[in-house]
Amino acid sequence: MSASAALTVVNANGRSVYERELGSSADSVDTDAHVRELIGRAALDFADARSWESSATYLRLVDRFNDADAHGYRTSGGGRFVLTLRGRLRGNAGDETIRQFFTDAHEAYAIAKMNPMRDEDEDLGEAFDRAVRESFRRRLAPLFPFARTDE
Amino acid sequence: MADGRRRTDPAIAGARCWQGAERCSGELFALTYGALVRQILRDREDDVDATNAALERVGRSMGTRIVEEYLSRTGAGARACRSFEDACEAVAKTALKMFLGVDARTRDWSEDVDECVIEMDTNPLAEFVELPKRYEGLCYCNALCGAIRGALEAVRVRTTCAFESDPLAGNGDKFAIRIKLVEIVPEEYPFDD
Repeated sequence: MSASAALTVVNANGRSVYERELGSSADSVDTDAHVRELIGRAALDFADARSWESSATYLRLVDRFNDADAHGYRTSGGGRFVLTLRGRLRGNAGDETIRQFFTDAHEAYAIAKMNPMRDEDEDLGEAFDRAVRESFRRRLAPLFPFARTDE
Repeated sequence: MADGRRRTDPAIAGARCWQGAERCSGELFALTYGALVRQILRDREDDVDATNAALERVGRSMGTRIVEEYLSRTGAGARACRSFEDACEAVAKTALKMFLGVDARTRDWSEDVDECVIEMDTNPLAEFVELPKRYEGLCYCNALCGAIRGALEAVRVRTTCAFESDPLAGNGDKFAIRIKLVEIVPEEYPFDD
């Protein structure tokens, strides 16, 4: 059974500034990037809707699409993160674990935004990528059978 | 020491000045410098070489002024640098510590003692910074080279300064500046007066 996880980050202007697969099980083939994109974008609308219902930054599960779960997070500055977990995972990713992952990502996002050489709508850069992957490896990788997190 | 005066260790002098100094937030400093670099880049229409030169010039003007503060705060008169080696030690251990809070040291001295590398443990200027591909070749912290060069020039030591390793440009994992002595300008007395 294949499984994969992807993170989409959209900034306050609604531009996508980060969209990568973070990890997948060994037998998963990353052929469906467009599906991942579709799910990520679709979930954004739900994340937006959900953000009116609560003041929390972590919006929990915002969308489901076949075997994919989309978790949302909204920073107070209007940036939105969507974590898509697909396929059969080993066990359940607890809300708390995912919240911690998002908190790490938020911190890295804040730092990436401070980079004076980066324009507002540019990609978040490698330091962000590294930080997110590191957090993913620490917190969520155990959910993936034979995880392969290095792309 | 030959003249019988005890010299304070430059590292201690630096730490003392750093302690007593008026400070601003490191983040504010890093971002202000970033804004400066961006503005210069924009003015030069993303011409990397022109920007490097401009940053050097900015740094040099800072250096020629900052040396005054260095001399007054360290009371360097009592322990003047007697050689290029002393001067480099003073830059690395005292000046960088008192102005930037950076621990640095000299290494790789050439045989003639006219060239060395100043290696910095951290660099507050480069915090948060990641250089995009289109600015390859940009020497982001070039103002620092300029400042060192300007400051030394103000005390009659002409040098050349360049980054030996720059993690932002993807070489090396520490910031290191190579300083090379050009000449020590002889003191000119105003005989005509």
